[in-house]
Amino acid sequence: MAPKSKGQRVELKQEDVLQAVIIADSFDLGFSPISKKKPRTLLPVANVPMLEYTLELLCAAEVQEIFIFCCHLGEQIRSHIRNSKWSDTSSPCSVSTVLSEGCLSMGEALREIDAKSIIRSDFILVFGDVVANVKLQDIVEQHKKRRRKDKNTVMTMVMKKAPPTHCTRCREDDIVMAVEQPSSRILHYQKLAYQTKVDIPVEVITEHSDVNLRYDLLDCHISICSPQVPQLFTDNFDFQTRDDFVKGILISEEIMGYAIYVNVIREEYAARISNLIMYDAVSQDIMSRWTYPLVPDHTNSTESTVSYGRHNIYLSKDITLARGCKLEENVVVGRGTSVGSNTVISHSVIGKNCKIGENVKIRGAYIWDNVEIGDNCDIESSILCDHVKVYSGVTLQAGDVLSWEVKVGPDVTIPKATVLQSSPEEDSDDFGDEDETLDKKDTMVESCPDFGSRGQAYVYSPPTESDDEEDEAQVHDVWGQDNKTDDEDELSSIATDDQSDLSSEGSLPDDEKMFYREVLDTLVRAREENIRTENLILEINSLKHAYNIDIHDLHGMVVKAVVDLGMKENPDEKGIQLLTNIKTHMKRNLTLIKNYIKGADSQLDCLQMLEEFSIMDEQISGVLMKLIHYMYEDIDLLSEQVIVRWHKSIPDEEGHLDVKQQMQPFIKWLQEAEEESSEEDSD
Amino acid sequence: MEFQPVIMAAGRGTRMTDLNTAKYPKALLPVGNLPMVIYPVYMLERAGFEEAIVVVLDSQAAEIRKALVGVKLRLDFVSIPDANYWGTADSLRYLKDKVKRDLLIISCDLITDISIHQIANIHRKYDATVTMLLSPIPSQYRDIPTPGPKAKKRSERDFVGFDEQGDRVLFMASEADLDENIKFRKSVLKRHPFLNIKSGLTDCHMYIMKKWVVDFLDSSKAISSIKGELIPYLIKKQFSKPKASCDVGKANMSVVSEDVRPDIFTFSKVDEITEKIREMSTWIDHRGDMEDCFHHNPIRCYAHVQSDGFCVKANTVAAYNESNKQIPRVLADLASEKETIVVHPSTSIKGKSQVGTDCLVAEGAQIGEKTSVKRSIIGKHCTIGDKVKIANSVILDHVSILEGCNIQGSLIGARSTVNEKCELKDCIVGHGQNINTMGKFTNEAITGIDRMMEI
Repeated sequence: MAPKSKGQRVELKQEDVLQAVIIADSFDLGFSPISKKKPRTLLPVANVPMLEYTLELLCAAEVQEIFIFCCHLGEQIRSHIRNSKWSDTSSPCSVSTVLSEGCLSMGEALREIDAKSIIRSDFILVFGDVVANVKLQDIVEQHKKRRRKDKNTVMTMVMKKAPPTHCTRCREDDIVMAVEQPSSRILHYQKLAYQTKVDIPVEVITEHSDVNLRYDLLDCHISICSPQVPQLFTDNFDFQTRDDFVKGILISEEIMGYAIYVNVIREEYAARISNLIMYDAVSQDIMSRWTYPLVPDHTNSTESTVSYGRHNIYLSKDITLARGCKLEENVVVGRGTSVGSNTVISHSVIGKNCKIGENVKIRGAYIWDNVEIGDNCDIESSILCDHVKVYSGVTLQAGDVLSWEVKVGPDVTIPKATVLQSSPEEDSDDFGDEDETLDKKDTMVESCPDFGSRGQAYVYSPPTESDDEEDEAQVHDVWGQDNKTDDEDELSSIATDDQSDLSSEGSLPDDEKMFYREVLDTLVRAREENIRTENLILEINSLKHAYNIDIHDLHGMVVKAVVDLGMKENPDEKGIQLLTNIKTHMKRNLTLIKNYIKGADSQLDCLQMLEEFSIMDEQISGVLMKLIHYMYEDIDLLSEQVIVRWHKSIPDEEGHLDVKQQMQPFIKWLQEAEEESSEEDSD
Repeated sequence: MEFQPVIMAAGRGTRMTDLNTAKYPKALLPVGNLPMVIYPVYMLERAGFEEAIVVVLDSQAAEIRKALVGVKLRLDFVSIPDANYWGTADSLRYLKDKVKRDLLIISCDLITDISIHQIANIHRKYDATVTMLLSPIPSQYRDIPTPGPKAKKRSERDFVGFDEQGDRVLFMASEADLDENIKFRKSVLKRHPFLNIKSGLTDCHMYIMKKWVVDFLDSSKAISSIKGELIPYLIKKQFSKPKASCDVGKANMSVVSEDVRPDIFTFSKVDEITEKIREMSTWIDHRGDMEDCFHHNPIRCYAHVQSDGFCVKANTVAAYNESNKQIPRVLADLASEKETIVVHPSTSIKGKSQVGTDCLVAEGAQIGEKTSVKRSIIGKHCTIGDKVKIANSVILDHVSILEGCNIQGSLIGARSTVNEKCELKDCIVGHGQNINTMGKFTNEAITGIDRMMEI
């Protein structure tokens, strides 16, 4: 690269140099405990370290200067680069590593980059675990054009259009954005996590005439940044992540005037391997060639050549495939691996120098280098790291992770989504990806239950994040467990100004409840203060008008309130005791009730309310018949025709039927009495 | 025709009271010297309709009937009582027994050269519940000087959210109803992850709707206007699911005092054949998931956004004035030949007067000497004196403008008199006003007698 000098011509030249920063650390624990021993970016995806995909992407975009910012186990990345083709003199771009072990967030990384002042123009900011075949030149060009028009353009985020259920959409970054049209400027950015509702500030639509609200975007974690971005991170020391940055910029938009844009790609592939689920999804996509030209037979960084066969079978050299073994589809087999007879493999990646026994079934598994698998094993959707030994007869279920050098078996079944490591002790130095601050107690390591007589495995459980308040809203997916789809709540509208029902419909039930509560309170007060019945009636009538209660409802509710009063007095009582209570209250409020319950209609209302009440409340249901009998015979409130009519009208439905049956003897008695009296008449 | 057209001509013109719409039917206000209501009628004729229902107020029925004598369309006048202040939805409810097919509802103040089939196509394509016509407000429209006092512009903006294809309406809110935040449900966003919200659109009050909507209206009396209540309600209800059918049965059977009103979904039943067709068809309205067509939403609202051509909804004074100014340009497409004559042969224009080609002068008008008329419309039997200058103005019928007046950008109501040497700029003169000699007005609405006393 040209040395820094202040000459006019050199500066012009520097403008042309396209720079990129790779953050080779994820600052999270998505891959622990695997990432304890090797940084995530060097983990193999289809037998190639992740970082290589990112470098190929940038190289294809004609980036000339790449800085790899490494934190956790950065030395390994540095030596990997030193020994790779990127350090050759023939390398099309200069790749240099920036090492900072103590860095804990992307924000810190960018602040350090700012301190080192290595950024001179627009640059591409990307994570080291991104797999993409996007044509970045065009996007960079558009970004530059935008920046020429508006100096305050700070960032262009690259997003891929993907429907919400797309398999490479990471549920951990589920985003909703409001984008102004046609400028593609981002107006609102929100991570959804577990929220079921999205809040959009009203200004977003009132101040812009054409806004797209998009939930169909997959964050590629590739952003084109203007040179002031590291500076902005320095100015705002609370920016930890890019999300913080985007939110911060949008909030202070009016003050600072900075703008962030989005570039939506449709055809190309892009995804970030942010957790094991994404590792699975991206690996399958690579084998199905969605990422072309980044496919196993094209990546020339590996020393061995890979041949591509039908059904997406990728084979390296020196492979021993025994007679009768079957590679079904989407399989990558690394150099020096041998597969035993009658073994069936599909949708899997197998690394270098592995030994796979006979009669083994492997589906959707990622087997890294030097792994030995005994006979008669059944492996489904698991990750087996280097030097893992699976003895014969072992069953691995979906989501199992066997970290470095774990040994299991023989003849055991590992339950779903179990993460095993080979040693119980924690080495605080290479703990997780980054979290050296968490103390040991947080990572609970249980000594191994029986993982087979020759097993050497300990269950790893991820640290609980009780101290990390800001992460509360984050989603943590566990590979192998079914993603719970959020409840499809019965929604009334896309915009949830609820009570979208017609005004009268929506508000009624609430009013009724309130009214009922008021009546109940009034009755209690009336007894305590000895209010006269006429005044009580007046009060209830005024309440009726205040709450706009239907007269039929009023009849029922007055009776219900009186009955309820009797019940509330002694909630534990049942049967006769309860009945006596209710009777006393009825007697006391008889004038009140009689004021309302007069004609046949109001009696029917009263009975229907009792019917409802008894369905809701078991205690009432126990005394219903006696209560109605009392109301018929003693206080002469109900007439027998109404009772019979009501009984006939009870629908034959669950709940109602019980009432009907319960009342049967009483009705029978009523009818018999009637017959008797009519017989007497005829005599 | 599969649709049954209804013209809503019972509006009271509450937004243009300055033009004395209380006495003079709004539907008969002249646009390009033709009563407003004739434009929807001609539009239906152009589309090949043979009959239509016209909803009018009792008190205005005779007048409107008279104005529409001689049109080819068989018109069925339905008059609604004046006293009840019925909204458009109330009128529909009243019409219920006449509704035999899906409805095409047009407001009488819609003047457009759009062809109805464009809306009908969308309606047919998606088997929509309601399809409406939206029109972008041209940007110059907001800045034009409107006659009358400069009132603060009340925001009547609507926000309409479309899906990715731009046909389906997923969201609608008027600016007045919005809170600080707008909430969207994630589960709806999952099915419709792309929502394009536009604010520069006006509802042209032209709807095609399913017949069952009228049945639904009959059951829910609370809805009184189509635009204000029915359409927002339908748009919101698109994403709710019908209650389990047994629930509905229960509600109907029991005589309990609870709400037995069947909900909207009991009306929106799809017949078996349509369902079968939909099942067997490979056509789908969305991408991105494996769900069935329309996600089983029984209610679906769509819109056609008019992109080119002429479309004005003359429901305010400003819009009315504007429609009058634009009409000479497009009149040839909208009306019959004999009605589009620029200057009626029966007018008498005296020497040295100039009448621009962009003017319309109706029958019986008399124009004096050395008078110039530019970009203006002059109504029937107007008398315009000598040395009068009229520009950018709309003069309604039977107006007398005496010598030496200068009238610019104004709207002068019927039967008014403007006396000598008046100067009016951007004013509204109401029905039957008399403006005294030498009066000078700018940006005023002259409607009441007390106004006249001030001079």
